[in-house]
This record gives sequence, C-alpha cells and structure tokens, in this order.
Amino acid sequence: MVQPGRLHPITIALREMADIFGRMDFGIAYGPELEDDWHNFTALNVPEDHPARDMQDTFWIKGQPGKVLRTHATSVTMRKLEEMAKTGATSMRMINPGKVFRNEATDMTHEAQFYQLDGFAIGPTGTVTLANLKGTFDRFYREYFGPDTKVRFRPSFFGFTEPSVEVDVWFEVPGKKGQWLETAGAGMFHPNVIRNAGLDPEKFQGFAFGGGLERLIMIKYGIPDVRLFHSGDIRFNYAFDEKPA
Amino acid sequence: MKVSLKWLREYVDITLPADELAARLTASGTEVAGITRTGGSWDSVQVARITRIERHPNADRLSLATVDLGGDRDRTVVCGAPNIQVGQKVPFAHVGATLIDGHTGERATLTAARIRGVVSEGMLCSEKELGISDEHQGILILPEEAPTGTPLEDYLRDTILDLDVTPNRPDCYSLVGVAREVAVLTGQSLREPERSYQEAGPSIEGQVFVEVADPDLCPLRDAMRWEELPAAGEGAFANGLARFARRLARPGRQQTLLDHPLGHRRVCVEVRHQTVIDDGRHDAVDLGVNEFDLRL
Repeated sequence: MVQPGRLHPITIALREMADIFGRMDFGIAYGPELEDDWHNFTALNVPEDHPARDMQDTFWIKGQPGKVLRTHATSVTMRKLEEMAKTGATSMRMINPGKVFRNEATDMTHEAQFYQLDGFAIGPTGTVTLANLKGTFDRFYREYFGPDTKVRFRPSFFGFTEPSVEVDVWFEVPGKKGQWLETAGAGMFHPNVIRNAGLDPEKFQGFAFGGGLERLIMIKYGIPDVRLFHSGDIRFNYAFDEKPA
Repeated sequence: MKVSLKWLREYVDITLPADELAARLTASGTEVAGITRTGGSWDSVQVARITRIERHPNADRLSLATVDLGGDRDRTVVCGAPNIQVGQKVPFAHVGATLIDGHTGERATLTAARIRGVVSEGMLCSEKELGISDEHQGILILPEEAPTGTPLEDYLRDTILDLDVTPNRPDCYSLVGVAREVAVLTGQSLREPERSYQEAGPSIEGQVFVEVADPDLCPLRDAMRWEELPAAGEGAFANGLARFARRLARPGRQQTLLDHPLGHRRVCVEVRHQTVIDDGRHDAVDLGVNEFDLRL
C-alpha cells in the first residue's frame, strides 16, 4: 500500500508564520538561492573591503566570480525594493523566507544550509518606524510562542540597517525558568540601501528583519539539534501534526 | 577581543561582579561571548603580613613566623623557607585548604600539624604549593601593596571577558576604549593609568633619525635606541615599556628587562603589543638586530 506523503516540519511552521504575518498584511516574496554579489552584499551597504563582510562566512562559486550562495534572505528584500522603485508603489510589506548558506562548521546549533524568516516593511517617511518593528515582533511572538512571551531589543550592527538591533524573545518552558533567547537581527533601512534600490531615502523609511527559522521551531517544540531538520530522517516528520496548533 | 579585568582596573574601578558587568556590556551593544576565570582554587588562603620571626626551638633549619591576617587573630606557623622577612606580605593557608604538596606534586588538604614539637596553625605557601609554577625554593613574596587579609583569590586571580566587538565600534578594540564603556555603564570615571618611568643614560639626540611619512595617519613618533636598560627614551614607547615591566614581572621579583628570559627583541614586540592593547594604536617596524624604528 502506498503511504501518503507528509509535509516537512519547516513547511508546516512556515505556513503558520505566513498566516500570522498575513493577518498583519504582509505578503510573501521569493528570490534566487544563487545570488549575485550586488543583491547579497554591495547593494545592502556591505562593501567588499568592509569588516561587516566578515560577519558572514560565504560560499563562493568556482568559475563564477560575482556569484554567491546567498548568506541571508535580505537579498530578496533588495530585489523587492528595486521592483518598488520601478512600479512606483509607495509602500510594501513582505516576508521573504528561504534557504540560506553559510560556511560554518555544523554542530547542535549551527548548520551550513538553513532557513531564514526574513522580511521588511517600507512606506512614506514617518509611516513605518522602529516602534512598528517592535510591535510587529511583539505580535508575531505572542501568536507563535504564546501570550506570555516578551520582546526586547539590544543595540547591534548590520551594514544594511541603522540603527540595528538584536531581537530577543522571553520564553518560558512550563516548569522551567524563563530566559531571553536571541532570535533575529533587525533595524531601520540604512539610507544607502534605499538609495541603491532606486528610491529616495528622504521620502521612504522602513525596517528589515531576519532570523533563523529552524531556531524558532526548536525553541517552540524543544528540539535539541538543528541537524535533525536536514538529516533526511523521515521519523522527524512523523513527530509533527500537519495542521498548525 | 579578550579583556583582562585586572588590567582594566588600571583605567576604571570595577564596581560590579563580572557576570553583571558582562550583562550590562551585552545590553549596550558589545556582547560578552564568554567569561573565563584564571588562577587556581585558593579557598582559605589569605594575604598575610609577617610580624615576627623566631628560631624554632627544636630545629635549626626551621623558624616560627607570626602573621597578621587583618581582622582575625595572628597565627604562628612553622616555616622552613630561607627567604622570609618581617614586614613581607605572603600567602597564608589555613588548615583545611587544598594545595599542591610541595614534594609529591599531588593535591592535598592541609592538616593541623605539630612540627618538631611546635603546632603550626597553617602554612606559608610557595608558588608550587599554590599551583602557579614549579618554584619551590622559597615562599611567594607578594608586592608590598597587597592588602593584608584579602583572600588570595581576589588578589591574584583574573577574570577575562571575551567581547564580540561590532564593526561600528572600533573604539572598543582597546583597553582604554572598553574602560570608557564600562565607566559610562557603571557610573564610574575613566582614569589615566600610571605613566611613570625614569629616564637614565645619555641623550640619544643625533643618534637616531625619525621620519614621519604621513603626519595625518601617524601623529606621534618615538625613537629609541635599545642598548642598555634602564632605557633612554621618552613618550609612548617608554610608557609601554614601564607597563610591560609592571604587568609581566613576577610578584615580588626584582628583574630588569635586560635579564628577561624573553630577550631584547621579544620584549620589544611585547611592548608594542601592550601599546596596541592599551591604547589601540599601531605599530612598529623592526629594522635590524638591535634597532627598532617604532611608529606609534
């Protein structure tokens, strides 16, 4: 007898997250996994000789200079901003989840290829603020993790945002002490990024965010090892219900 | 970047426990990735001041040393070391302390003992017994300013913070920069570290030629001819030299840099490193065997 297939836990989780963001009027965008240097780095205000490049260990392609396995899904954000400049739209909000690649040694909490939940919102100056960023995360975490979760920002640095923040979530496992867990990086678009897309940074303002997708699932369900997601072990799939809780 | 709290204390008072300081630094944008505590476990070992030394009535090679522990009553110990003198600060281990046995090299608990008929209320320690080195010829003599009664852990130990400095904060790639952050975060004041040194020897005017290729990039320059120590020279290099001598010299040891086991050239390299670590400045070029063209 033929067994019916099952959705991968990442697919299930992504549908749930897209639903939450969808109710906040965020669309979904996709882009190429094999990216060019412009969209992955340079356009995002991470020039070649800047130490910010060292923050992400990159896979380059032999024989294809200028091509890179994208290190974050923010490359798609850049593509959508460029699109916005061409169509003349005045605002946009999207999540752009997808697979990303980093040259890391794998262990319980690190993978060389993993998924990111990335996204952004942009609009006429004054309509999309840092407070909106906090509110968006607050809403998302309360819906995904539970009503007792809290959000906190810490100052940080990314080339494409200014100011930049690290986003922590306060998570309590029943019976255990709660703790602050780092889940994403975010910030307000750097004017150079807006300008590189072909938009006027005096007229537009917005925020961008990105974080590991598997990490969110691991936190919610207490999964100890990130390598389980891409191990190919089919039993991992059977641990999850297909319908979101 | 690794930061030694002991060295940081030269620039700013550390008024919080390391964990809390780390939490504040992280919340301010410079994440503390890890905290390492160096030094052995020296429970029940205190800094003591020798107040009296008498001959042991029953043993020629032993003496009875009485020590002041600050708050507690004085203790008398039997001691076989030849290098103790009244007034010195030494490590005193109480009965029950876990130390390295000087003869076997194994960890052992100090027990109450009667040595040649006299009760010894504890022990004065060598570096070997404290697990610092293999030095066992005499008692570890601590610097004069070691506060009597302080737990040795607090005095000799160090805590290292491993900082993840973000690319937009190059000012935190130096001790003085981190000290500035800590001062602001804890409501303390940044202070200039001690920059005292003695100049000696004839002036080197006319002996060394200094050329500044780019005054914008390199506002300071020092020249130093390294033939004898104490050195003739001035400014940043000499500061670095003095700091190096102070920090890397063993407690209680008199040692000129000329005799330093690292050797001339290596000492110069270390001094350069100190300047970079402390002030975030670069750097020197080695011209030859005994000459350095040092640009700071």
